[in-house]
Amino acid sequence: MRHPSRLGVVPITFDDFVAERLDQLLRYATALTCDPHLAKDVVQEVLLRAQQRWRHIETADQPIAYVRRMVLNEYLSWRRRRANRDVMMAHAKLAELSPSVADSTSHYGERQEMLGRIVRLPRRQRAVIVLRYYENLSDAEIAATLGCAEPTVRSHISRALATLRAQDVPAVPSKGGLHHAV
Amino acid sequence: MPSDLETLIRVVLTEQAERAPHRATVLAGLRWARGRRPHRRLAVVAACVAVGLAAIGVPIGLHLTTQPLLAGSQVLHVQQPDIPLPYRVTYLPAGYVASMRVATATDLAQVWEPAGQGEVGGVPHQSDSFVQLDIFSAAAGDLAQTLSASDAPKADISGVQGYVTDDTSESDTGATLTGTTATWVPRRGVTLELTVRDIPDSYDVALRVARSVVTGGIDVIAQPVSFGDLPAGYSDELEIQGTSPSRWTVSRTATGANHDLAITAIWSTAEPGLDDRTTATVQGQQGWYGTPTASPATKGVVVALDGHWLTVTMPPSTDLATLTRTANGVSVFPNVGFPWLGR
Repeated sequence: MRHPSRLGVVPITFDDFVAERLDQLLRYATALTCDPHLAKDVVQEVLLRAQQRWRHIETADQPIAYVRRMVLNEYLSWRRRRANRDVMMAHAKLAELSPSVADSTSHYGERQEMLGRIVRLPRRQRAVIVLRYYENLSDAEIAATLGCAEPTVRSHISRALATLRAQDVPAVPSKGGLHHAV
Repeated sequence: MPSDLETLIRVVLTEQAERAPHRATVLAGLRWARGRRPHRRLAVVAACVAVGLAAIGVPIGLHLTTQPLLAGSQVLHVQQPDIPLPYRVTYLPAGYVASMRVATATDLAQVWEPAGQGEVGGVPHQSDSFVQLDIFSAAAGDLAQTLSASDAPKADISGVQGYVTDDTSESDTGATLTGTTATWVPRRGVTLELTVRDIPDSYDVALRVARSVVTGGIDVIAQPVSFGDLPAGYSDELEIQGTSPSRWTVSRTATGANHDLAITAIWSTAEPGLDDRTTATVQGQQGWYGTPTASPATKGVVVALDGHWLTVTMPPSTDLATLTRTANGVSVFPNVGFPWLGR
């Protein structure tokens, strides 16, 4: 039985939701994981669970926000600790995507270095960075998404930015040389 | 070009987002998972199929008109045989009772939930906590090969190598739920999957329940509802759930090969809701035609038979004549009981 709509919110079917939001969820998950393969697994797993409890989700004020939070939680709780492989894959894939001739080597290298730093961030810090700079959420919105206090969000952002600002991190890690914080 | 740290971060994250996989890979995965893992929310999956059909407006009514689902009167009133359950658990956490059995073309599933679950204020309710045993046939795919290639932690389960994975999910209230799934292949062509969810020490519980699984026994899935012969390409799924032998719902859904049609027959002890109802003659009795409250994206007919309720739903484009003709062909067998429910 579908729950009646609340406060005028019109329920959307699961299939309609997937049709409208799947691309957005995949981009979000890929930015979060820096790994398209892992992003696909995460989104697929989340959608299977979302489908099971859709009668609850469809009555939420923003089903997309709810499902995005599920994606984030899935990423944060991802048990297949593929951290090192994530990093290696991310760099390997990035290398495959060679810059066009219009992109200068220096700018490509700059972005590659930044990616290397982002993927080394502890998962929660990385999540905060994605929520701030990809999703453009405020401290309060990030806190609500992560279920923590705003000062905690600011602390995560501060530490993450300090790490990302550092200049002494090699662009491409050597195999086995990483201890990816989770 | 990025000129400061924050701009550079945005550029890099946007570049990463652009590497997102194509939606088709996820949609294919969802279809595969739906087929392989009916889970205890099978009815919800079936409902979603119907909803999806409604959304894209497939002209399935015409299809039914030219190719009736039910072959003819000679197949009616012939009860299909019970489906044996070749594996059973001999240990469950204290207080867990049988709440559901499911049969599909590739899977036989049994579910146990804490006693006392099932309805809250008269509304069907499923506990977040459950134990589920799935028995997959070879038709579900070569799961053994998939498992052996995975990096899932391994564990001995009754003398064979199994794989045990933890996962987390959210409850309807947003609470984090933990679960564990143990998967093993007791013999060629059979894969068993034991899932526990929202139970303390889920890893240990899952392993203990999995290791208690034995072959044999007299447990079956009875088939009190029948569509008769299905046209080529159709498959059907049967789900029985309830809280006791006197409180149950049987749902049988027939679906075309491309999910181009979904017909559900529900045989229940509880009277279903039907909105915008008009009278209709169903199985020679006065019944009703309208929009089922539980699945508003369908049309359905309801009739009382032998003290229980038969509901047949089809996509909303279905006309009354087609719907009643289909419902008239559904066979129910009131003498079939479910003594295992709630025990």
